[in-house]
Amino acid sequence: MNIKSFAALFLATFISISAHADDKDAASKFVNEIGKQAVSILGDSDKSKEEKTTALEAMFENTVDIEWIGKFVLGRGWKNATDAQKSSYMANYRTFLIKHYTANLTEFSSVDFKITRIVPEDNGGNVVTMKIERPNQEDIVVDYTIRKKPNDGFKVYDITIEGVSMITTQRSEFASVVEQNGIDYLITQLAERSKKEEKRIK
Amino acid sequence: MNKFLISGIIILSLLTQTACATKDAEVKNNKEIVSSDNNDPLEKLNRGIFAFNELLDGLIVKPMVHIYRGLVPEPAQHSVKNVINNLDAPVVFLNSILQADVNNAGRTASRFAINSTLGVAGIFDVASEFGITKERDKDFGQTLGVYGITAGPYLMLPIIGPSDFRDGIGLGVDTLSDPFTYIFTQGESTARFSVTVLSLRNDRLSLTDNVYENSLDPYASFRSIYLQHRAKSVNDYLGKDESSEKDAGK
Repeated sequence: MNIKSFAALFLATFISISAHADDKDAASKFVNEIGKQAVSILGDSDKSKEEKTTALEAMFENTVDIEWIGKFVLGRGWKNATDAQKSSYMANYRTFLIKHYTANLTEFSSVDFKITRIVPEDNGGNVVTMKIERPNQEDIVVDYTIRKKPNDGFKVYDITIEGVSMITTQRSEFASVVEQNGIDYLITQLAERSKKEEKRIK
Repeated sequence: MNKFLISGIIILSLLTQTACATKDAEVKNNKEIVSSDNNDPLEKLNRGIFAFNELLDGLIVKPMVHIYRGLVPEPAQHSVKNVINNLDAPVVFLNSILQADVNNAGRTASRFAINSTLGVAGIFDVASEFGITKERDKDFGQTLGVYGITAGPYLMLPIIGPSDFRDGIGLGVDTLSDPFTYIFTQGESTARFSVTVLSLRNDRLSLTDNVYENSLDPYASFRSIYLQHRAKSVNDYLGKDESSEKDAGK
């Protein structure tokens, strides 16, 4: 073993560690940026509530992998659905998810956040933990599951609060609804809920 | 001499990488994961009990929570929580020992001693002001999970609410192992139970309202939330703090 081989081995080890670290740093940067973007939209006093909602909805659509999540939460129901049901479901689910999450956000006019932890997760991505500080209220700790989509950027795949994962809970809920009432019922319910959220914003 | 040194460094770096990999694998293998494919063999029975609980909740518990909120100012609500937490200390201590979490056991014992005396029977959380922050809650159901016992079928218990086979046993053991079960009279124990239910329901009201507003099947949502929450308490039993988590990631 000479100094060259040793240097090569050392370099190889160092690179493999760095590659791992890069992924985590990039994921953390991504969450930091979307956080900052959301905070600036919310804090923009020149924008009306509707304008803020539209901006947040666009941001949500770009950063969350809605298609993947939609398929995941439908579970076995996806395989059993007809093509027409699949496209109807995806369209309604997309609207429902975007409306549901952004409707809640416009309530906050001033929040601050901090990235507190990054941990790798089972499917190759990372879980980025964010502490959200609200004035006069308790902090919220949110875990974002971030994965890099091939030929695309980082996307959000799940939101977990206190160990409760949004996609796991929703999948359980949808499975139950489909089992009892069928997928068409689920689709109409999603459409109805979206309309409800829309009314809330106005 | 050079050969040994270099081999030593190579072995060390390989070991470190293996150790990291094993740590990840251990976490993966020991981690309790809640399947999102519903495993609820007693579903019909559970839904029946859930409906009963909902009735009880709507008629009695929720109105009482609103009265509680109206009569009791927030600082006092906080004190009530302190008293309840303090009474839980013996059980938390026991289960910390069973889970080999000596740090938590020590904290629980100190807090109990300080808060019961200086804190006037637990009303004031004086221990926190001395820097002994709240210990991690532990119960026997969690201990069983830590020892590798699986959760078993989901159970909806009357009044108490969501549970599973493991936690059902845990609840029984907790009651039997709690010295206050024997120290308190029947009346005092009932009062303690009622106040605990009231305080917990008060805390969870906005969460449950949220689920009822948004879920297409509240029963399924509550089931999923409960099972995930319990799985997390088993996975987190040693309560690794943030700094060590960051290192584990590297």
